[in-house]
Amino acid sequence: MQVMTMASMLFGLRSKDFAAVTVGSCQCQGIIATLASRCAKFRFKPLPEEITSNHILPVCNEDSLTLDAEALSTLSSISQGDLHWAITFLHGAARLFGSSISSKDHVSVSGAIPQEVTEALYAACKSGDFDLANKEVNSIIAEGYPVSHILAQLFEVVVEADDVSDERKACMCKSLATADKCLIDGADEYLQLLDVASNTMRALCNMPQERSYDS
Amino acid sequence: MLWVDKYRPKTLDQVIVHQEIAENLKKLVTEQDCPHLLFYGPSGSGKKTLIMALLRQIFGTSAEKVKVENRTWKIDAGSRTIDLELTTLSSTNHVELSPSDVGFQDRYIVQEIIKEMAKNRPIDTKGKKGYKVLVLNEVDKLSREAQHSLRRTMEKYSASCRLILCCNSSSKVTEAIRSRCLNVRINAPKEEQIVKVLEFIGKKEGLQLPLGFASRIADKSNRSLRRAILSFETCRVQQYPFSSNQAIPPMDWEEYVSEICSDIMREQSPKRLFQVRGKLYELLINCIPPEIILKKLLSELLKKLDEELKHEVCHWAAYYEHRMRMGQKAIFHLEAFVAKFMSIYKAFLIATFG
Repeated sequence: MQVMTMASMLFGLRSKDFAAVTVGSCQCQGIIATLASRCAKFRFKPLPEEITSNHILPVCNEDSLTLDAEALSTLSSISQGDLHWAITFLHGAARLFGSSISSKDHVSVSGAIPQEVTEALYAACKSGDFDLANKEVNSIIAEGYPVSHILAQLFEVVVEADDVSDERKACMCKSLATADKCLIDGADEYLQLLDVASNTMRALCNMPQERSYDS
Repeated sequence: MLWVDKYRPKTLDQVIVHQEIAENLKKLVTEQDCPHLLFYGPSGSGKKTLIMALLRQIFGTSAEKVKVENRTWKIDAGSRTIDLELTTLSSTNHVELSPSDVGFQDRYIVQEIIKEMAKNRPIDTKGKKGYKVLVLNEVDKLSREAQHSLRRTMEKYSASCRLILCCNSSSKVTEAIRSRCLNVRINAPKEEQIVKVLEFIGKKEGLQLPLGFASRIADKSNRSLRRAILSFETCRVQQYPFSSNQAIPPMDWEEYVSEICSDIMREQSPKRLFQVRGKLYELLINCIPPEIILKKLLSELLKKLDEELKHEVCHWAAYYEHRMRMGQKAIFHLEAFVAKFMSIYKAFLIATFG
């Protein structure tokens, strides 16, 4: 719904005389007020773990799959409350690994990036050696990891770091946000990740934040 | 026939590099059914090879009998009709196409043509209802609208049609599409794996490989198998028997970029900028994608610069590449990057040497 233009939203306003219009959207802010005020609003949250499990279990019974408790909770956590992902993962894992599925199988199907990859990048930034960070970025790209996920994981690492001042954290987060927007615009993954790595390095190694030769 | 095509694995059993993934794919289709698939990974890593081998695994040899069709589609879009020309590659069971070829009108391809193809379900010889496979290339280059239309198609016709999507970066594919597919990450082959493939080809061709020659090619290939095999064949044409210190010829456009790099390191002036513009145009009219030029230029510059300048230059490279993507004409942004670099470098030289 958010991708609709203002004009089509206004058109939707007119057509309300004829039928009940159902609108679906990720965020309420994108909808113009005139339209929002005419609708009854329902808010959907990410599904909590037990609800995901309750929906997954019948599927398992139907297809005679066996999941242990750990696998079930892993499935809920990697799908982050999204039942669509959860069922896709389950389908894939069932096809690949047969009827008994462990939590490790789920992780490998989901294509989640191992924590070590992000840790290695962060460590390279901390070392202050640009070429080392560049090498790390190159290997991430060659491994084919989606950079948007790397950014999300790097964000977690940055936020949880204890030995970094808030001001520096803010600098790093700002560069993450910029890169995220650029990626959505379709910018090159390698260059954006390298820029993030460079900014992170400058923040971590107390290098000057402003660009000294910028005129 | 080029070696790249001659030694492309035809079946999942022949795959040398991604054996584990091939095994998994084989398991995936044993029950004559598979989920939608999304293959992603850098270029030259073997996505397409795996997809073709997978199709052969599902449909047998009939998947190899493909015909190329260049058709014009008439699409009724409200008040006007649009003519779209699209090349498809099809066999009896699958159709392969690159919807992003038609540029900004790609959503019509998704909404009309793909829907049309997905609706018609083939009936196999036993009279059973089969399913059709649509292979879509370069999904990451599709516009947002097209991607949103695609997800409806995926759900609605999932009974009669499977989509296999292929792209370089999965960040550019919307979450909605990714969550409907089984994601298969194809990593670039490691250097040892490239060496193994080169030795395999060498053995088949009956060539004598000097020690360390294959690993030198692999080292230069940037982990792209296609590139490694191509330069291997170039070396073979250039000189055989191989000598152990034979130079591996770099791509000529790469040499050209490093020439630009040394040009702008040597002199920073409007006159030099003008000369560089000519060279950039030369690269662009030879169909080298602008972002590749920019990346190569950056990596050449990074080799020569001081530590403190590297941060700055890589930031501006990222900045101008983003601008280039948003804008229309690549040459403006390439030139802006060169000008920016010149100004930074000049300021650095003045600050350091006075």
